[in-house]
Amino acid sequence: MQLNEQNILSALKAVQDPDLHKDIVELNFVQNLKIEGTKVTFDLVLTTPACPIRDRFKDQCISIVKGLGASEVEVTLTSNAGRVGDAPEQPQVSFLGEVSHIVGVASGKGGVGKSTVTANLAMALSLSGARVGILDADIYGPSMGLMFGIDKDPQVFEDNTIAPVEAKGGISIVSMCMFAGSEKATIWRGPMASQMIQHFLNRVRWGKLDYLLVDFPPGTGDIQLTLTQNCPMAGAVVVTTPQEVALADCRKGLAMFDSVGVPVVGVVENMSYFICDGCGKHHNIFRQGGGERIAKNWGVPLIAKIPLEPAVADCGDEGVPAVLRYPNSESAKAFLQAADAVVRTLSVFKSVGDGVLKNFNYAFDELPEEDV
Amino acid sequence: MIQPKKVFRTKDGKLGFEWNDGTRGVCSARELRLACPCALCVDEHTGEKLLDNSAVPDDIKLERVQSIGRYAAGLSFSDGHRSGIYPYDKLKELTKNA
Ligand SMILES: Nc1ncnc2c1ncn2[C@@H]1O[C@H](COP(=O)(O)OP(=O)(O)OP(=O)(O)O)[C@@H](O)[C@H]1O
Ligand SMILES: [Mg+2]
Ligand SMILES: [Zn+2]
Ligand SMILES: [Zn+2]
Repeated sequence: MQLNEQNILSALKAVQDPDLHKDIVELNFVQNLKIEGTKVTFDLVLTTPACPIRDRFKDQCISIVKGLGASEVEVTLTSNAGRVGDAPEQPQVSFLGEVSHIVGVASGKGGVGKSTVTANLAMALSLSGARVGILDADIYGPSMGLMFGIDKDPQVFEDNTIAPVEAKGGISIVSMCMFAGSEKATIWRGPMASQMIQHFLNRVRWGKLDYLLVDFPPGTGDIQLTLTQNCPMAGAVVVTTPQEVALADCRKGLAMFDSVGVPVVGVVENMSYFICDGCGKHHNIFRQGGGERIAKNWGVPLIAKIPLEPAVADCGDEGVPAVLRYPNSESAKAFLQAADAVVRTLSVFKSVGDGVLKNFNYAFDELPEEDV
Repeated sequence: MIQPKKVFRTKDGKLGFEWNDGTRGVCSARELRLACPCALCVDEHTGEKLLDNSAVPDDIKLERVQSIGRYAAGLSFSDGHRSGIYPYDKLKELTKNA
């Protein structure tokens, strides 16, 4: 059998974590896999340094990889909380601490305009004077390269951290599309999405930012959950279109953020109505009121209704967000309104933070008995 | 943004909230049940009420109170109904007239 990353990772799937009921590859424990001839080295990043079965994991891994034909296998045990054992020091870095507000932009359904909304929100925030970054977390379908017309590679440092690329409007961007042609960025071309997400979260030198927008991949699966769990989000924006199918998925998006305790800033209804090139009038092509209904049902604010405007799509293709290119368009005004709501709501979240109940689940009988 | 600071019950089984604007209020389980905004109780499109008040037991009780995001609470009732999501501003309205 050939010794390559794919074979090794699929063989290592045989090692199960008995507590988490998942295999170590799925759990993203295997990192920094390097193959030199028949010598294989990698890290096992455990959830806790005190993992009681860590030596068993290590022994299992070594015998599995040797079984594939490796002459030498070196496994370094580490944990998210710090290095364990007597392995040499390696900095575990995250630069998210310098970011004041991380905001997720997500939807249950694909193609509703998350990336368009992310790009325009970022531009609107930047125009208002904030320092803004975008993390394009859509590993398999990155959009930010196109939406901002980026043709640069990011700078890769010795320690495998990178600097984001500065795009139009001074926005710092990291996207999968930047690594396609880069020779240096080998660890940035790993095969696994979940590992890539970890790199994105830990190894990007964002510098000081007021807002970092995270463009989510479509759906509400494992990757989305990894993102919400590993990234301290101040809030989330959920994008939908007015159609019934999108609304059902929008609820899933809301529920996902709810399940991890990330407060939703609001819902953006995209493609709410059509501004006709021909007659300039508004045409409702989808059933109306979907966004309002979601907002009313969940008590979540509807922060903007973005029209379907050919100019918005053209901007996406030309690499300039509509907010910058056509600041007087109805879409641009709606995006500015959404950005404004994001800024205000995040500060409200902060100010009402003290003494209010955020997550609770009470049995009625166990509530304290009081008078009015 | 209206947010709960405390959830309590009264001796006679009403649900009470203390809000972040300093006000307090309570509402009976039956009144809350009758006001359920879920799609089974209210037609989503027309807003027409589908719930038959007389089908709700007089002695209905609350079983659970749970946060849904940052803007609403979900209530579970003793008749098995648990699909209602009550935005805090609606709850504040309902608990206003104690
Ligand atoms: N308001 C709008 N008016 C016109 N075109 C739009 C609008 N919003 C999005 N589009 C177009 O719709 C397409 C999909 O948008 P976008 O890529 O932003 O969606 P997405 O939700 O990020 O998709 P994916 O799920 O694939 O990530 C793009 O071609 C974009 O230009
Ligand atoms: Mg996208
Ligand atoms: Zn027309
Ligand atoms: Zn109901």
